[in-house]
Amino acid sequence: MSKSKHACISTKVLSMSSKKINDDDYKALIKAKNLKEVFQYLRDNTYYGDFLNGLDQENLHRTVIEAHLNDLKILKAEKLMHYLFGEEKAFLQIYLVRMEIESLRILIRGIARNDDLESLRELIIYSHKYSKIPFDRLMKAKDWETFKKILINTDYYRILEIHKEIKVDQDLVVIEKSLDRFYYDSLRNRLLKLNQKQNCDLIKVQRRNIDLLNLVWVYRGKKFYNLSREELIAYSLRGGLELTDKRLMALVNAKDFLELKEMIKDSDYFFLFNHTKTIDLYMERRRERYLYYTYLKLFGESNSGLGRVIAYIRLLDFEIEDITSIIESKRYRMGENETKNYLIRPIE
Amino acid sequence: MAIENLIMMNVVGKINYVDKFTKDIFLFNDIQIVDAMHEIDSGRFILPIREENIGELLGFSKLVSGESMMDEKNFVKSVKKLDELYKGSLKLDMGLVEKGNNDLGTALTKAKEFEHNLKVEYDDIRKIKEKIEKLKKSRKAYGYLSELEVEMGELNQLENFSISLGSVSRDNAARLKSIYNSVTSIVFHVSNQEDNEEVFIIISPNDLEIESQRILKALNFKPIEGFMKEYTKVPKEIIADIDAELNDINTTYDELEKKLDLHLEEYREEALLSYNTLSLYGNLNVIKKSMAFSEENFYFSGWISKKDQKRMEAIAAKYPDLIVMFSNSSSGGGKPPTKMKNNWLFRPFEALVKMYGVPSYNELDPTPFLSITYMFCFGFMFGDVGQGLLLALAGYLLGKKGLELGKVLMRLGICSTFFGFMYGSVFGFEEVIHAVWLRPFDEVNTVLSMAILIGIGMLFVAYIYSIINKLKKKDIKEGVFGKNGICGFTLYASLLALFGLNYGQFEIVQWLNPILITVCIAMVLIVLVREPFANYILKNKPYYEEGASSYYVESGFELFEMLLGMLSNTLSFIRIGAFALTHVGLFMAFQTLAIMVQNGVISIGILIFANVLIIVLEGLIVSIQALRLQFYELFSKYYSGDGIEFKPLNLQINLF
Repeated sequence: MSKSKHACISTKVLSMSSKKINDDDYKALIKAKNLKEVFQYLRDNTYYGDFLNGLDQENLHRTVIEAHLNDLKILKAEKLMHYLFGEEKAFLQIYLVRMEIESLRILIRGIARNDDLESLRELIIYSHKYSKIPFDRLMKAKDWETFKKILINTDYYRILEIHKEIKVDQDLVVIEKSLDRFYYDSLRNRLLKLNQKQNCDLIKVQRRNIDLLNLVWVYRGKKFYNLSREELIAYSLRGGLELTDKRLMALVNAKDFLELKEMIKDSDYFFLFNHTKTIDLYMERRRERYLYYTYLKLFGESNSGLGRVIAYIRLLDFEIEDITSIIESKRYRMGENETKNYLIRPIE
Repeated sequence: MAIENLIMMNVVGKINYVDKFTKDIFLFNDIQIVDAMHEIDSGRFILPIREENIGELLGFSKLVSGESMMDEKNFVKSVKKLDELYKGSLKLDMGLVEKGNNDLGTALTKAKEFEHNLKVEYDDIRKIKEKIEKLKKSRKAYGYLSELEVEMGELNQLENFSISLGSVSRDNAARLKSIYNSVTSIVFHVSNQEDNEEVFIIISPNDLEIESQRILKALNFKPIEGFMKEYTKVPKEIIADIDAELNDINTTYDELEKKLDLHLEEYREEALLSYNTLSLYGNLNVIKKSMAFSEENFYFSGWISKKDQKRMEAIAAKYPDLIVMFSNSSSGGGKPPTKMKNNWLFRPFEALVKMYGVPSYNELDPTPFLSITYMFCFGFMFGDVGQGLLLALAGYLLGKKGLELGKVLMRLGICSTFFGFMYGSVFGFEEVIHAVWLRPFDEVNTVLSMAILIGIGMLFVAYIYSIINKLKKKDIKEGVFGKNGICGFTLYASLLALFGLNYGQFEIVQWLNPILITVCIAMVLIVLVREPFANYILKNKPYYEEGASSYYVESGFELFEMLLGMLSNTLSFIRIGAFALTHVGLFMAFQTLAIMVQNGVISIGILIFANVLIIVLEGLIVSIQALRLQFYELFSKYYSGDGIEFKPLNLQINLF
């Protein structure tokens, strides 16, 4: 029964996946000389073309292209939601919430810097069908108080209301961390509502993701920001797989980075620290490449529940992120091989 | 005539009485306004060129559309405000509008004055409301501490510690709990709030205030509001005090409300007048939007019934220098909308016709024919006295609620009752009354052949309708030589006659056969060549619109489809008889079940269930089948339904 329930969406995802950009596309993008060439290639040769058509190629801005790549993700997620009901549909929606939060973050940064929010319109990407945030009104807000008031009927109000004012150096970090934490808490709560048996492989992957995020957070908090253990816990995410509350507590209590490294020696995540000089430089990429392989496996092997669907969406995420990295590499005039080092998908 | 003749009315008048004139139009109501600018641009709004019209004619050159000048929003806003004050008890009274002199200036000042008077009282009420909110907040805040046996005054004056009460989300509460033992303050879990929040008391030493605050902020700690310095007693006593105060305030609040209500009642008449005037002007401005204006004149266009022409002329006579012109579609008035006019029996069936399409203005209204045949078919298929009466009752109740289809259902129910007597069936039982005509199950063949005969009759009428409609449109090709025209009709009738003579119970009249066969062949040939034939007679050239070969291929297939259609359309009506049989059969099956169980209570249950099922399910199926016969077998022959519906003023603009 459960298999046939997801047979339809599973097939749809397989067919959607066949349109993904392939290694040759990657190579062509890496070879492109500048932003304009990347843009033209994406527009003429890939399925991102539909979303980039409206942009003026003579007057391009890097961030605008990047934002519009996400239009594709929204479209695909909305399409897939047609095939689902109830909790499963709600779970898929969480990926639209992610985009919503990203857009909100851009606006909050804007208001903290006293920017004109209307000028950020191009960067605001969200699901027009499912988002309950009145972005149009938000963009007209002139000060922090009105901005908050507009959000009063959304979940975000609770996060923002305690901040009486918004200062770039103090409140912004706290708010962004809180938004992230809110997202992962919602993700976890919705994960708990799914059929646990059918989705066990999916849930495992999601919990590993949380493990990795926590690990990176604790490592960085200790090494760079010198945060207190209470603050480390306050912003940690809940629901990890290997790093249970107790182990997380122990990591937080570690004296320094070396002790921390020692503690996870036997865990699956040692690969993050298993290097001499390049730990910090590539930590993010290593984390994501690990997830990339995990989701690739989930996509291939998952045969019940939402595993394959979520894997598709996450792989799409990585693809978009890679394209973003390629675009950035043009800005820094990186060589082909150097660019490849920063990509999530391994390209030979 | 079931479709009323409409004429286009074009008016040119002086701007100084435009409001009065528009008001008359508004009260007249039975008019469909048309954008005058559009009429003028399309050259249909034509003034006779005479010396006395010179001013109006000159005005044509510098017209401005009302759309850009008129705005009803302010009126709508004021009216909505009044409506809110009186909680929707004010109603637009046409009588009052007609009588009143409706001066806009006075109405606006009155409304302003009125608002101002109320403002004082409203402010008091608002202040009290705020106070109540504040007290309720405090009550809730101290409620969290109700078990604390310490005076708040003492707590507020602690030298080295600060106390705060607040909430964090459930997910963050779990995080807080895992660091209970290491935070720089004492944390108590007090209670759970609704919406996913948990409440904590935090007691922290003043020296470590900054650290504590940082952690709390990290957990999105939200302090609970409502604690006041003035409250110094034990929380329990504070709560009692607040309750007492709330009680007092509530009484004052009620008194104020009463006073306000009195005040409102006192000014009801004035308010009603303002309400009416402002609503009127709102509506007038919407009407004026579709007028055109020059410096001195206004230009107005609209469709009215031909029979209203005299009344309209009488209205126009009141105004000096007002020019009214009427024109109908034949004299260049554009394509008029369709105003259906049917008597009370047929009117509800207009809704069914509109489902398919509104009749075109030069088409016969199919409503009467549809009504009669639809009721007849339904009754024939679903004949039962009891069930019919129930349907009629349900239809009556739904109709009362304003549902147009309810009225259709009531008429269907009554027909069903009539056929119930014919078949002698009450709630499915055939033993109660005796059949006036026949019992369907005893005479299956009669019922089925009857159905076909009825169908043939209906098809005949459909052919006649089709011929009339097509000739009205001066479509000789289809009307005379077409498959649904005179030729098609003759062919169908001849074929039926041939069949009847040779296979029926009539005496065979041998000499008729060759004549009929000749007629049939002739008709088939005519239909086949109808396009060149019609063009030849009308002396149109070329004879073929899209070339001869493609025409004959197409026409050949059409011919085949026509012959097949004649057979299938006729046989299609057999379903009327079949459903009459199903209706009886279905109940018989349940009746057998009821006897088999041999238990009185269950038997009755089964029979009741059977009736409910038959009424709901079969009733639905039968009504759909009957409608299908109409739309598919009959409408496709004679009805195009591509008209535009006439909308009187009150449906066209609906402001309030």
